Amino acid sequence: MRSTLFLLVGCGGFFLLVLILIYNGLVAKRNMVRNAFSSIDVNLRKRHDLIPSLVETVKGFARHEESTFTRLIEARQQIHSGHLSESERLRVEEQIGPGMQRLLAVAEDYPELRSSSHFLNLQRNLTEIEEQISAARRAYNAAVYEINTAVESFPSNLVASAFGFQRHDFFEASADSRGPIHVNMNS
Amino acid sequence: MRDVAEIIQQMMPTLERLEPGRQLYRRRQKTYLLVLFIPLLALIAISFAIEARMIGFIIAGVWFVIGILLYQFRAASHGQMYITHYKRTVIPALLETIDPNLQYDPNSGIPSSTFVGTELFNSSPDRYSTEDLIQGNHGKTYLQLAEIDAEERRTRTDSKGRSETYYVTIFDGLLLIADFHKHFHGRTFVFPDKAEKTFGNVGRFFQKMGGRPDTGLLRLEDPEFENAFAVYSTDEVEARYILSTAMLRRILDMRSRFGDEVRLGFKESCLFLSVPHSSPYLEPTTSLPATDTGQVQNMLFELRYFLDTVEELDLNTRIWTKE
Repeated sequence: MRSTLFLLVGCGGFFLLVLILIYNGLVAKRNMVRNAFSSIDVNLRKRHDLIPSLVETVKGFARHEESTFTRLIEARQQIHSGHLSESERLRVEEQIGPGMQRLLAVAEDYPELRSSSHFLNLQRNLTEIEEQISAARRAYNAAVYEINTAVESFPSNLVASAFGFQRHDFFEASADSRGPIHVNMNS
Repeated sequence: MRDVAEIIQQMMPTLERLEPGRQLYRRRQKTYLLVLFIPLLALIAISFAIEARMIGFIIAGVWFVIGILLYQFRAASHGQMYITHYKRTVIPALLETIDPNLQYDPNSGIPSSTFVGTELFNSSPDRYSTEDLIQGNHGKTYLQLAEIDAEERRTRTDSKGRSETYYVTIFDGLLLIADFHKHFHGRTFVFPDKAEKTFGNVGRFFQKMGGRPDTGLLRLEDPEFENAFAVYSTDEVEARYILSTAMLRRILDMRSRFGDEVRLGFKESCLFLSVPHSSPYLEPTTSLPATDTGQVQNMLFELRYFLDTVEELDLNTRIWTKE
């Protein structure tokens, strides 16, 4: 009788320990996703800070890019207003990258702009930030891979469904940001 | 870059001036080996012939020690002089054809404290030697490259309680320290993958313990890279910033050139690369004439082989904020 009791307590303790370990593992993985997302956010905000300076620098040379300037400034204002949902915000962010790259590409036809130290500095900063955003997205996807695997694998899927851990979506580049940058030189 | 034949042709007068030094060494080597071994063999033969055999052997032993000392002081030192002179004359000239901004010093190297500081290896060396330092700006990248032999002292005790000290090699090869083209603050390490490759997921569990303090194991997107290396870093995002997808391919290409045991470290905005290389590096042989073009070609090849890493890893591309 006593040995049965010990066995039951032992099994219960073991079960509880496994449950705690799986739960803590899932929490750690979810926090990794949040942390990776916040890294994307930090770098996107760094990119926003470059928009006014880039627009001001290129404006004097490429007036025909007025629509690009307006779109960039509006997108930045929209994001800073704080009224957008997370998915809406990411959609707007997706337009900013190609827009900024387009302005950098414009400089290819303006030797004076291309040799300006201010422009070169902006170009270097943007290249660096774009790479940091790309690195943060890769880290986010790696974190999503970890939690999705845990949420779908047995036995952690049982704990995940019981405590409301969910699958996350991978970050995928939009068609806009994947495509080539077209610059219209007709003013 | 100039043609190899043209470089060698231009260096020929220098090589010809080195040849008498080698010939002097070879003559002395032959003389002293004859002086050592002929009396030694005679003494051994006499020892067998006489009654006081032990005295004969003792005299032979004493002669052997004296002979070795004579050989060291009168012949081997000339060999060392020739090698040093050759290295001091030929290698800087070869290096200048690759990049005139690089300097070479055969007697300098990378200090032991720097080697330990790279964190590429777990152990601290108890016996350390370094030589053949090349340093300077190669393009836009400041680098240091040197040969290193680091060993760790260990002690073993046999069943009778007798202890014996022996040395185990930590690293024998070349260490490259180069200014990295991007700014970063954390520490990232790329080590050969052994555990996961051999034991799969169980190996990955043990692999997690193979990092350095405060680092975590990362899983990168490139399956071929994942299969070849284990990556540890203090910052997941920064590690991916350093190890861009293009950089992963470059490291894999480099591995196919240098072998499976290549290790990389990224810290303090520098790249540390260790490449095992047990065969002699930038060492002329005294058995070949100083004017031997094959030997010069080999040295030029060795120099380019390691310095090409800067271009291979694209370290001279400075499109980021780091100049």
